[in-house]
Amino acid sequence: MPFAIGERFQIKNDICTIRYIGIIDRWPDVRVYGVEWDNVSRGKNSGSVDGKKYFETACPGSGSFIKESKFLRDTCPTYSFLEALFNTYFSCPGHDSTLAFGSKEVEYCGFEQLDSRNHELKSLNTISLNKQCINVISRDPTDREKIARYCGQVQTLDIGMNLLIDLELVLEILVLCTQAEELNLSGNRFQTQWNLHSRNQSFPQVKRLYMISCTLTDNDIAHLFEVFPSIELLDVSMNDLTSEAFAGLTLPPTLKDLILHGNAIEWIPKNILSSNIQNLDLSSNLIGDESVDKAHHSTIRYLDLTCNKITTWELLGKLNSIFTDLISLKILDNPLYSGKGSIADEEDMLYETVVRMGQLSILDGSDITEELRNNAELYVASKVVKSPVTCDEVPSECKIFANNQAYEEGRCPVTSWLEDELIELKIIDKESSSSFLIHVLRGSTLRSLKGIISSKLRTKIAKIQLLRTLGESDFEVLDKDFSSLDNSFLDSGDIVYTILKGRQ
Amino acid sequence: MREVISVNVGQAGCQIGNACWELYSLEHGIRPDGYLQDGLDRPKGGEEGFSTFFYETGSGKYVPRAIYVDLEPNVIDEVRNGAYKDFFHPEQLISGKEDAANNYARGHYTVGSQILDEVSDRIRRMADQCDGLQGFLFTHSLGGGTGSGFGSLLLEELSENYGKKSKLEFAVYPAPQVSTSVVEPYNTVLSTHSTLENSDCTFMLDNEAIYDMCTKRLGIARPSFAHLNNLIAQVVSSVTASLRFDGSLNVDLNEFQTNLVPYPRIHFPLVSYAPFVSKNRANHESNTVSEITNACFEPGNQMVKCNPANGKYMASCLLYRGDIVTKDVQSAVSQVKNKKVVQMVDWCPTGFKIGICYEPPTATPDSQLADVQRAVCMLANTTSIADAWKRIDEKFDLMYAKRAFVHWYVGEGMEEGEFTEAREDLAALERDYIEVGRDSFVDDEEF
Repeated sequence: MPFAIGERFQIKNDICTIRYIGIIDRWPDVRVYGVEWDNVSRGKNSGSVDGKKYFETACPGSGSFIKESKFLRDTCPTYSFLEALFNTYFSCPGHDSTLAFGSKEVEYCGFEQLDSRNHELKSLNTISLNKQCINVISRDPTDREKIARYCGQVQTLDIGMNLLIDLELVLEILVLCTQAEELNLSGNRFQTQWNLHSRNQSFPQVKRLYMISCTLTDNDIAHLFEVFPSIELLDVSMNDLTSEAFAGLTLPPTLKDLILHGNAIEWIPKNILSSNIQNLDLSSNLIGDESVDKAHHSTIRYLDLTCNKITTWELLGKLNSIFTDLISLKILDNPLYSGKGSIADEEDMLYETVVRMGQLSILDGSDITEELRNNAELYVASKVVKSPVTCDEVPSECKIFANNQAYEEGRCPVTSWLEDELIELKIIDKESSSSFLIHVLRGSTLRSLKGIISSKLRTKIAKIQLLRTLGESDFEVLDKDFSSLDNSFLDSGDIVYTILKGRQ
Repeated sequence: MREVISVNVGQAGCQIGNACWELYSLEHGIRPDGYLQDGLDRPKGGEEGFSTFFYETGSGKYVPRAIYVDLEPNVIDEVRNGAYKDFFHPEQLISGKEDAANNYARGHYTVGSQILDEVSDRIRRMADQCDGLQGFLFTHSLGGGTGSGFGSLLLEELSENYGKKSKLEFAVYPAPQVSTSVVEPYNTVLSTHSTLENSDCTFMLDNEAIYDMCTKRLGIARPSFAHLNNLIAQVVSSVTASLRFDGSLNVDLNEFQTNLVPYPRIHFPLVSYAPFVSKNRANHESNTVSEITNACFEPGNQMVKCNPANGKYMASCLLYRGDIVTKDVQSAVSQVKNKKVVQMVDWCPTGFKIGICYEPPTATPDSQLADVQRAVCMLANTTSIADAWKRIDEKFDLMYAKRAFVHWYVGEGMEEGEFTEAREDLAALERDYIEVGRDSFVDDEEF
């Protein structure tokens, strides 16, 4: 069987691409295949052996050399889509296969029904041919007819982790599966570009597309939206895309979820912000502090920024003013949050984040309760007062800052809780016509007020009487000694007269 | 008709009950008000399976066969006022006025006994509605007062009144991360002791293990009980899927036991579930049958922290859900066999069963779990689960050596002797597990 450089194969359980065919110095007698593994940890070197470079690998350490004998023995045979379909859903290996653990055979229950159900291919909504070594769709035109017959009604089609390298094949299968709403192509490393000039095809039936780790390039994204004009969910994670891939594109108005995990995005393009997207996943990218411009506005509700390069609080301020509808934010594993190990620091970071993100109700997957928000606001307010926090605009989002003028100025007059409780009374002594001010607790009794006054006047508590004016010349005697000042309706600023007992 | 009545006891029990019923109602296409979702003319999952968990009223409303009990009103009031308030009949929600204050003795004796008659009366009425009641599904925690104390009391009552009916338990095992009281080890030991004879099969749900899944797998920074319960609901749903949907393994509760329980006391199967994937990551790991099957044998996917590699399996059930083909299952199982991670005891006749349910799992809208096309749940009776008992026994001993907090229990009329008795029973359970793990045939011709 002749093999060509660039062809992809599954060897045992791992998929690889042939990068080199020939002889290496170590084994001069046999033909050797140099391969690059999709699973980097499966590799043994980076395409060089004994100091000599035979091929390049995209990821260091993902290559290895395989002797032809092993390569031929272990390589899984490749199938067409139709063959894989029949293999998976029609083969009936028999339930009496004697697989046993120790002395006990494995019992299968309900699998006859499962088989008969699966044999009704035409009624299946989901067809999943994951990791089935598919490298072509059809071998001849009758195959296509069969696929159209069997898969015409399929809604969810999973052909991930296969050996497709040509994007044309994707178009080919979609022409046949006219109802496919969900398509999973993850793990197929496509080596071609979309070639749309020949055919102007689009597949509005596809609503959800997964192309994780498909070696897509920035150019492919534009074509992707042409081919799938009414797509709702697009997952193009792990493709080394940059921000340029999206810049200047018109995104389909239907697009609600955009998952860009593990790409090389440095800034969030404007058209993503202004689109209808609800859920944007930018985890494991290169989002830095200058990634967004404050002038924009976005209606995104779920944002994932885990594992990026955010280092300053300013970005959070910007995020807060841009994403006004944000419900959930994930922002773990950024440099801003790392390097501070202790639990107290974690708490500190949590509180600061909560305060800076005004509308947020879910942070890193956990709900922000009313209580947590209040605590956080108080905590940050106290930090602002001590002024170790730089905050230029945060306070406006924060109730405690808005309600309290003092905080808005960034400092707070020292007031104690006692002040609300104290009342200031003006005491006029009728005997000596002297007057003075005293402060007394709201809750204290008239008797204790008398005590304070009598000690000031150097007289006995039993000898004085307290009066208050009711209008022009009417006086009321305050004689309920054990009722509190509150209950006697005395408040700050009131005037209390004292006379010696017995006089009127 | 093979009806199952769910009994949710205590705060944890009721909240897990909520999460489970929310999931069941989604899976069967029922709205929170108890009527069918638009566009359905009958509930999903087949008449036979569906009617084990729900009954239909004259007006076409579907009501769960469930009962909620708590000794204090807060949690149940949340059900009464929550989104699912019309889902339940008021008779199904029973709350007392005085809580058990994390005290087994209050739940089991003083406070619990006051409400017992009312509860068993309601259960009796519900049982009378059934044509062929097959048993009860208990959900409660082992650490709290109501769950441990009243839960075990109610189980005793049920085994008296419905002797032959199966009683399956989902018991939440306490964890330090989300602990509410220091006396959890006491409650756990006491409750386990008194339910050991009355429960037929207990699935333990270790909060510590589930907490770790939330933080490590789902990226939830500070998991709350709601997050834990969402995971638990998904697992419980997988276990009960075979009862609720037609045409699968374990169509009745008895079969669970006969498959999994070789001795009445050795009735604590280890539950594992795969895949745990967060939203937005649904297709990142390829969730093929062989991958989810392998994941089931990893300690990170187990509901109880223990290491099955150190123990032996007595029996095991793999319950697949969703889009599965026979061929994949067979090759996945032979892969597991080749890895030699599963060591079976030599004496036990029950073996390795595999069941299937076509309905894929559903994720509730507010859970962090992704919608996946297939999932697998493994129930394995392995001797390594004794680790869990060892852990709790150690904590019990630490406190009991100094008789710390015992006065709270004695004050409610318990005797200290009950502590010692319970602890000895658990020690015996640990020994039982060592015993069953031993090979029975001694070859005297070879050494």
